[in-house]
Amino acid sequence: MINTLQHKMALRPSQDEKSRQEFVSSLRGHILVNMASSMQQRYEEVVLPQFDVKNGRAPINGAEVHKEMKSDLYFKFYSSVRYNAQEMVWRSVIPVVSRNLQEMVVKAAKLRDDESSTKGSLTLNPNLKVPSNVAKIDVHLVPGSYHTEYIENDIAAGAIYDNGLNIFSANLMGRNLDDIGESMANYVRLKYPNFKPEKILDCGCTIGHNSLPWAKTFIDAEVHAIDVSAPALRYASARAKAQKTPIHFKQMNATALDYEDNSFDVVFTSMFLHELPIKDIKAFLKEAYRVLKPSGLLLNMELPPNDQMEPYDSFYLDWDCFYNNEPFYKTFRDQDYNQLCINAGFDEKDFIQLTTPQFGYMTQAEFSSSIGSQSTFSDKTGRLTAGIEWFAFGAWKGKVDD
Amino acid sequence: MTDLPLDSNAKRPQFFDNDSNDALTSMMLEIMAELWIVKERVYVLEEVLSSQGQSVKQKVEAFTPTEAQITQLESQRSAFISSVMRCLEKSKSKGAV
Repeated sequence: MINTLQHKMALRPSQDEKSRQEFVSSLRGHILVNMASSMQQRYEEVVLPQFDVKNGRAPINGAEVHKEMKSDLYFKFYSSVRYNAQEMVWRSVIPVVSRNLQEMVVKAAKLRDDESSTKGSLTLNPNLKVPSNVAKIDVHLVPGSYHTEYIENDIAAGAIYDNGLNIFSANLMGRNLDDIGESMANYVRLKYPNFKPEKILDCGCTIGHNSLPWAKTFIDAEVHAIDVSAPALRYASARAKAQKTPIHFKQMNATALDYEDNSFDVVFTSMFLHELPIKDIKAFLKEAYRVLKPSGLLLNMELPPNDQMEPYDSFYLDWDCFYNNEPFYKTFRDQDYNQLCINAGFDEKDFIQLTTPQFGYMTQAEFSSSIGSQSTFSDKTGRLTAGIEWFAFGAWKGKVDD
Repeated sequence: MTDLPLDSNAKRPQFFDNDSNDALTSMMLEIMAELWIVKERVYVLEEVLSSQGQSVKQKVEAFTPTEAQITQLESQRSAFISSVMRCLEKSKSKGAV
């Protein structure tokens, strides 16, 4: 069963709609566990030996594996079924949003305006130009992408993403889709006990699902979250209020931050950089360096870099670049992450990278015991399946001590 | 009710050598979804009725729909067919087969 989202903005589908959503979620589970496992077996038993016969060696990277796999029948079925399942995720949610949209817009506005519930704010910028990587590409095959507005004060894009991600993730991203944020914030809290962030910024936050855990983990900190999408932010602000968590949402492009120099202790992103063209990644990292206070921390929860993964695992993760409307994904994963940070102004020695288990799926003691170990990558790193390990990298802006 | 789009602007990829197979895979998955919805609904229906002490099997066999019910079923059947055959509807989907 799909977990029901635990907040007041969550949709209540009809019996048939719920049944469709459960089907799609189970189908995705079948693809990501059963079919993925069979495909890997197929690679090891058939495709890899074929490659070896032709080339006298094993593939050296994911691109070579992809090229060879393209003609394999199992890969074709895996890809076709997975592509359809991705479309079906959104198609199982959009009719429910369509039917409830007017009512949800009113409800969201009421939650946002409720000053008594919690502090927090929403600041939109109607003059902001939505960048082409969002405006021109229906990222993740979401019809209308993440920014399209259909009615006044629209929140549809946010509602579609929240409810769609809940089906997509098959209960692997936490009760309110916040496990990435929870795992990262708690990693920082436990790994660096002397680090007490007072001001935190989440960039590319969409519906703020991974911004909230920072406010919950560092309760004295002021948390800001930005995105280019007005409907996502309207929804995010209502969603945060519904969970009584104070977040300051602003419509802003991460490549041109409207914040003072040296103003944040943490700049955080989750699953954000791989959706950006490389020039925007570079611009954002420079901005992150600029707005961070001395000894502040940049932390990007992301997909692991290709050069540190086995060729097959690299190929497996890059599937989304070719078939999920995420054209910048592989270019990002092909980068040297440390070098990206160095180019933005960070010192080479201040680079960090880490993997964590899922905070919400174990005891704090179990999570704590994993903190000490340095990152090593496995076939579970960054891969949405049971036992996933989240990956992150970043840098201190002149770290003083631990 | 606000009509939100159901199709993305992505060009649907062709995975199989014969593109018919791509379309057929889409149809098969939509049929699986529709079939599961029905199976679950029948299960729920029978459980609800059974909990009220009603045996429905004979009543189902004897059922004759009214004109209004026939119209309703026809409408639902058309929507069902459109959903299953969606990848063939070029006017609605830029990336249709």
